[in-house]
Amino acid sequence: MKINEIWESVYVNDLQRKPSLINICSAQHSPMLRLNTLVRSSTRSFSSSVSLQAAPNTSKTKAIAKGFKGSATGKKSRKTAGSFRFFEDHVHYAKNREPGFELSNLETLNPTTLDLNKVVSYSEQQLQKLIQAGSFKKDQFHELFKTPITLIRDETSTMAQFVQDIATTPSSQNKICLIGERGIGKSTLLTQAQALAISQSNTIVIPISHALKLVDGSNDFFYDSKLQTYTQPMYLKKLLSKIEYINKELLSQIQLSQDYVIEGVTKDKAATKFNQKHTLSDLVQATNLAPRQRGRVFQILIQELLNQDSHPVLVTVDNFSAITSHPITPYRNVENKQLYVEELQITKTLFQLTSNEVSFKKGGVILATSSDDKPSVTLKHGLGLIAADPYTKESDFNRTLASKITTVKPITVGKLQKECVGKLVEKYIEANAFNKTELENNNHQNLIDQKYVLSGNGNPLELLKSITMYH
Amino acid sequence: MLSRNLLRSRVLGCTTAQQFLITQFRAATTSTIRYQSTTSTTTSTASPGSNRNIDTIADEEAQAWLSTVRELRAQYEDAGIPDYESSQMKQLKTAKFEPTDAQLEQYALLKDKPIPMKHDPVVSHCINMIMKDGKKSKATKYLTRALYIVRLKTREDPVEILKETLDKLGPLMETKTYKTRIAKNLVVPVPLTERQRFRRAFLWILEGSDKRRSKDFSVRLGEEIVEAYNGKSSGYEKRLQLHKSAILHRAYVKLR
Repeated sequence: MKINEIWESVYVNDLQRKPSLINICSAQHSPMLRLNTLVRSSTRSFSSSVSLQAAPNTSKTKAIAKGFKGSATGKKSRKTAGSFRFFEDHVHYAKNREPGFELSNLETLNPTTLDLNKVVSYSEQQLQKLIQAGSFKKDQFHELFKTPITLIRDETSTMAQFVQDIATTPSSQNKICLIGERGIGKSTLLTQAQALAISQSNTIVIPISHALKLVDGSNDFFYDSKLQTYTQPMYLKKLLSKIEYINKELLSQIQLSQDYVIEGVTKDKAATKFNQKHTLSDLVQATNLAPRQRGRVFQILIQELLNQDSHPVLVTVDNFSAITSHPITPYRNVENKQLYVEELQITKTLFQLTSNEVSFKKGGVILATSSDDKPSVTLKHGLGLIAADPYTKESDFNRTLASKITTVKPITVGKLQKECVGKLVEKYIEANAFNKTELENNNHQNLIDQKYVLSGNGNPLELLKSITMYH
Repeated sequence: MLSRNLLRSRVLGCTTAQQFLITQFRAATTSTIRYQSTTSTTTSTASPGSNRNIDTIADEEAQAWLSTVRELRAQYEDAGIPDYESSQMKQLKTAKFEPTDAQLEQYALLKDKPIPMKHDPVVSHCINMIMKDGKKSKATKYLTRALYIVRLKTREDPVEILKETLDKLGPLMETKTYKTRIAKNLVVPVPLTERQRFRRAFLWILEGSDKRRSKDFSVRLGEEIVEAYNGKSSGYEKRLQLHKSAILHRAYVKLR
């Protein structure tokens, strides 16, 4: 339609000027060709009209599309259709697998009934929110089951107690950091804490699921002169949508304590105003705001949460060790100097919370380390686990950051007891995760004994690997 | 010249006439080579130094031995002489292991318990075919990951599926060409062993996996195994081709 309209305007105007063109452009030609003819006729001589009436050149530039392989002979060979993903993503992607086994008679994780050494699942409400929060990681073998399962262990009761405490005490008193070897269950415990907080029904959860993404230079960023910090709009978009999804009902209950004006990105853009009738939900959901204004939205959100005392706030940070391992980020300022981690808005807020510079009236902070990150003296010294050598290099040990996590209490996640391994092995047998020969050659107790040894005396990840990756 | 020869003959222990002949011969063959008159003097100067070295080394060794003996003597005086006639010491002497009763008891307990079989022979064979440059752990990782993908796609035991696939895909016969030294070569169909069949089948699977899209080999392999299990691999055509050729030459089958 648009081409026709353009054509009409150009054609009619042009015909008025050049009536002889009627002979060239007969009605059988397509509008595009006629338009083409007209446009070219303005530059070419009238005698070239014969060639202009010829069929249009349809040959296109040869592009090598994705999945095609160009060869020397010019013959294209299409690669067989298949997944283009890498292993972790391929396995995680639901279309690449059949639905897993649904275990029968599984109770849901409930803060009131926490039976030790019991395998439970998450409730529907918890599950939806946890998936959105990014709590289930790719290398946790959740794809073996239809829905993720989890084991209630000693540390789970510690988490339940912690979640109870944050409902009454300020966040300055509730700060813990989960530490332990690779695959021991730090992230799983963090997920359990989130699930328990979600089931508490009045706790606001702020989940930062991959802290490495804050400091690895993968996001866009800019210097917000009004906030005096660097903000990461794309990351904030995801984070705000997560917060909005998990705490939808709760945010709509909290009204703003004062009026806010978020100025337009440019002078000609109107400012967005929020008054005391608006809720935090309105703030987070505001669609008319530009990406460059998200930093301000996040700032107001945190400020309002700090002011209120009706709802406890739980901040969870997974892979926190990534921040302490990379205090100098790959982001660079206009002078081409690398940005310090505290110059970024979100990490700055995190360190304000851990150093008691600011505190929620009710709330807590849970940090979980990751073994994938470079082991840093900063974290261990900050948590009081080791005393750093005074001559340690600045690149290995950041004293400023270490001083900001001194009040965080470390919680070491230990290995599973043999009894727990037995419970898990039972569930894996039920889910058909074992090889047939292994089940045929061993009785139940024998299998548990073997797997306890193979899992390095109770490492859950090693246990799973010994079952699924051991042929 | 004569006096020099005389001196030389005394040193070497030969007559003047013989020496004269030697000098003549040398002059005829290699006139440029000089008589090495300094050889004896150099050896005589080197020997005293080396003797001195040997003496000092011997002294040091002796001192070390003496000091060790003194230490041992002091130790034995304090703690007493160890029992060289005990069974443990005897074992050390004979270098033969003799289990104790406790160890024998433990052995009897564990004797009947099965040792978990880590490597399935078929899986191990496949790993070896994947392996390049002797990097077996890398090859193992590829296959285990591929089998995990098979597990997720089928929800069955992946090793069983791999075996079944190889059995389905593996050709039963192969043709071999024998030179008869006459006009015509003989093409004889020969049956394949299970290992040979699996080898050919898995090589076809590897070939098929190369045509897949993913950059991750384990993903390509896993997908190809699943496809082959469902009867969609290009290997089936090759199998058919081999079988056709074998049927064509069935007249040459040797039955003994």
